[in-house]
Amino acid sequence: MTAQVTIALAGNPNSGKTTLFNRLTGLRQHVGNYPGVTVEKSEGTFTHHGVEIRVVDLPGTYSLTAFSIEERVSRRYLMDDCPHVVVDVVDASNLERSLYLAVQIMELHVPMVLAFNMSDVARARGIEMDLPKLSGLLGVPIVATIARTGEGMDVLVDQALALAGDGPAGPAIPMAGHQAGLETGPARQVPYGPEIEEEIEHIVAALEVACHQSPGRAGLRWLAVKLLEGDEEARRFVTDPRALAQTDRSIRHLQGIFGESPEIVLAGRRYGFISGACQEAVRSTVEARHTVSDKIDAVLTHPVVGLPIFLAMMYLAFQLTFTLGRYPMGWLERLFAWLAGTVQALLPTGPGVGGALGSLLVDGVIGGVGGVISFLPNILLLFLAVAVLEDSGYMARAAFLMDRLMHRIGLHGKSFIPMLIGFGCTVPAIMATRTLDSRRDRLVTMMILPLMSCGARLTIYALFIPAFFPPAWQGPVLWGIYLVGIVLAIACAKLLGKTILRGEAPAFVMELPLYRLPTLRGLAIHAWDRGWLYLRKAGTVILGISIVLWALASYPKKQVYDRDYDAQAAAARTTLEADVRSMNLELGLPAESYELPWALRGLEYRARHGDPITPADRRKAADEAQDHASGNPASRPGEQRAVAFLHACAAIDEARARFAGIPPAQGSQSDAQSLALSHLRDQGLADIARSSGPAYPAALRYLDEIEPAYVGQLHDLRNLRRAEELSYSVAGRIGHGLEPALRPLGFDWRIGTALVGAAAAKEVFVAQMGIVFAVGEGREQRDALRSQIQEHYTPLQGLCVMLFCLIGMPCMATVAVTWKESGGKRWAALQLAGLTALAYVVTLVVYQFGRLLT
Amino acid sequence: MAVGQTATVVGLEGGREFRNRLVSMGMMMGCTLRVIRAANGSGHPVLVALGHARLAIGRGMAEKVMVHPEATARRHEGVKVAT
Repeated sequence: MTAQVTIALAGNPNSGKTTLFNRLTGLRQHVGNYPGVTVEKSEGTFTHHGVEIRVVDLPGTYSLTAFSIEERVSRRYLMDDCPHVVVDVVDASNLERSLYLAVQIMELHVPMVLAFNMSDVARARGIEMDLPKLSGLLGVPIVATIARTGEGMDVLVDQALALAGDGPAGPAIPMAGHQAGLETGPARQVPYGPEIEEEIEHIVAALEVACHQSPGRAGLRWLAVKLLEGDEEARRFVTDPRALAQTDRSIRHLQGIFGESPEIVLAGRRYGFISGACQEAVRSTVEARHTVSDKIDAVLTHPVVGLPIFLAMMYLAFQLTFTLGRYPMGWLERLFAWLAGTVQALLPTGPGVGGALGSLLVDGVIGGVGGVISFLPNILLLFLAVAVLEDSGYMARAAFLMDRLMHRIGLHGKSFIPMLIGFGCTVPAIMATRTLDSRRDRLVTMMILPLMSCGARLTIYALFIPAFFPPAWQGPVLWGIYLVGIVLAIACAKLLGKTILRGEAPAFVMELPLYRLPTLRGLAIHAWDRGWLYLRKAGTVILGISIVLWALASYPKKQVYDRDYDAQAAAARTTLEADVRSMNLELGLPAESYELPWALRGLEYRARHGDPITPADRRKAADEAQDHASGNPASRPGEQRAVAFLHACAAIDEARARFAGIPPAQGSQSDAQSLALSHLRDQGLADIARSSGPAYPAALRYLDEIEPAYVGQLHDLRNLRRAEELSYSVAGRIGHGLEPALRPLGFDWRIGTALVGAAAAKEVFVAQMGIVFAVGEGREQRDALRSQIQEHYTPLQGLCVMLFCLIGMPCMATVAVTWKESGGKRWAALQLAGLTALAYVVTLVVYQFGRLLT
Repeated sequence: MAVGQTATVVGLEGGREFRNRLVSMGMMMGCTLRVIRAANGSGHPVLVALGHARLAIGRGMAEKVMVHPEATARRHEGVKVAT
């Protein structure tokens, strides 16, 4: 028989709570958000002695006040969602502070077990604990655990289940077959002392008179305590004016007695209760001062020595991510290209529903999914690196080092790491803002992250900078563009901090946890979590937008073209046929004989479809023709000669491919090896010439003149056609429509159209430019595109394009991730609109001033 | 305060949120802290040991923690953790 029991895990940050959670649930967990807020909610399930148990990992907090969103979320969950039992993970080596949270949970009247985690560390530090005694003093069961090794887990769960069985909210759980656990008295109440207790009673009485409802199971006493502490949520909860008036009176009264605000006095009493219990049950035998962690910190947090170490660590993490990530990313890109090609071949092309469906599937869906998945290796690797930094405890040190710098722009030290990641890719950088504790910091960081120039934008710079700047200037210009991004990011952070995201400069109080060796299990779960989160949340949005952008660039279809491309292609084919016939004569065949065109038909087909022709393709064509000829007993001399011709073509092409890049054996070659190779090649070619006879000169003419002319013509026609189609599509119309608005920036409709594409991903900008300039979108056409750009634009315009792409229009993946991570469309919209407006203004100013100067 | 110096917390100034945060992290009146890394006017946060915990406190924040150093015998109220 199974019953569902819910265990909530509470505890301080760095208490090993997450390790314990992972230990209990393994991979059977999922991450969501608490309703309405962006605090992460991790949940998992596991089965213990046939009982199905749900574990909810509450955010790590030090307290349960209403000050931080994490604390409010935890408190609300404990009160409203009524978990059957709370396991409070206590850092046994940091006992008094950890128990401060435990005491507050106790006051909520939730059944609780204390997991004294890291009890090994505590023992090593010479802390001796009498757990049964402490358990009796506090009135809660205590189990010693070591989450890293899994020690104590079974006892902990047994204990929690036993408690859940008697808990007020718990269902009756069959407990037969295992021990009922330690005998403990009822949970103790913190004695606040006569003066405070009296005021608590006054408030409770006032609440009772008003028949005020009790906040969940916590009771009126808890509410009264919270009111005394000036808790804002409690005040909102209480509607009765007389009770509030009593509260204010009590606060003033206590303030008068203690000369200190009641909340501090109350906290003091809680600590008093805790240290009273600890004095009886805990003994610290060794005063350990210089622990290993302190010795490491002496180096790593050193303002001078620590900095280069930090930068080296960051460099390593960055390199690991973007260097190692490039390989799987390339594999995935190739896989999706192959998939697109395969699907393309299976589906009908051309006009009609079939062609449209094929295009949607290949360019829209497969392209979109590929775009989503190809980010995945980087995200996994990056979060692996981040997990190492976090789990080892180094992240807090990094924040410590960077705080001075980041504080100046109103951000927390931890913001530095996402910003650094942003230079690789904005998407994982935005996800990395999860390490920031304050929502305000997270939002400011997310908003400015797109200004860190990412790797995809580098392709745009790589196109424009060499086109307009002499080599000596290229480096400084590139560096300058990155610098512009950083300066603007600082300015924006300051601006946001002073306007919509105002808030006190983040109170930098942070615990530096002990250095620990991260566990593989923890790292794997962490990285996998992030990857899955990205796929599930951002992936769907990215896919949707890429289909929309595909439709924008593909529709409406042009029905009547400005030029008759089909007729021109047919004309090119006629020319080819005439040329091939002229080769017939060279091969000693009658001009009209059909064998040669027949044998070449496969290669012509490839050329017509824009597929590259490789030496292997030629060899295959030759072999097929030979098979055909030898299978035919009455094979004519025409066939024999066509076979010889094709073999000659294949041999020449193969030789050329093998010796690609070897200069001709002429002049003075200093490099003996390349001289030898070029001789080898010439010898090979001479052998082919000797064995091929009259086919050799014909093959040379075909390879060097006839076929390239045909392929080139078709290529140009195809590109012109695509350019015309794109210009006619919605994207092209947007480009044309935007021209009046973009002209003050020095942009024409071509740049406008490419910018529509850049919304999908920044690197698409370059491909779209290739299409509108009818030079093709591949890498091989970069030089052709560069010369077109040189012809059409001034260096000033080039600079403006780069600036606009740097600042404006974060790519849709960025917007999607911001949307999901900020928990609101508003922030994503602000990011998109704000940065684009900024880009417009900056580019406008630069272009207009630049024109005045030149 | 200098590195290695031990002191007792005698008062917490600043906003409610900040004080509550410090208290919940174990920094209470009467508790003893030891400076591990001082700001020394560099603008870096101050690093203190509080029992076995190590807390980094922003410079501006550290100025709001009033302590009196243990090393000097005379009462010296109002010394800030960061100076």
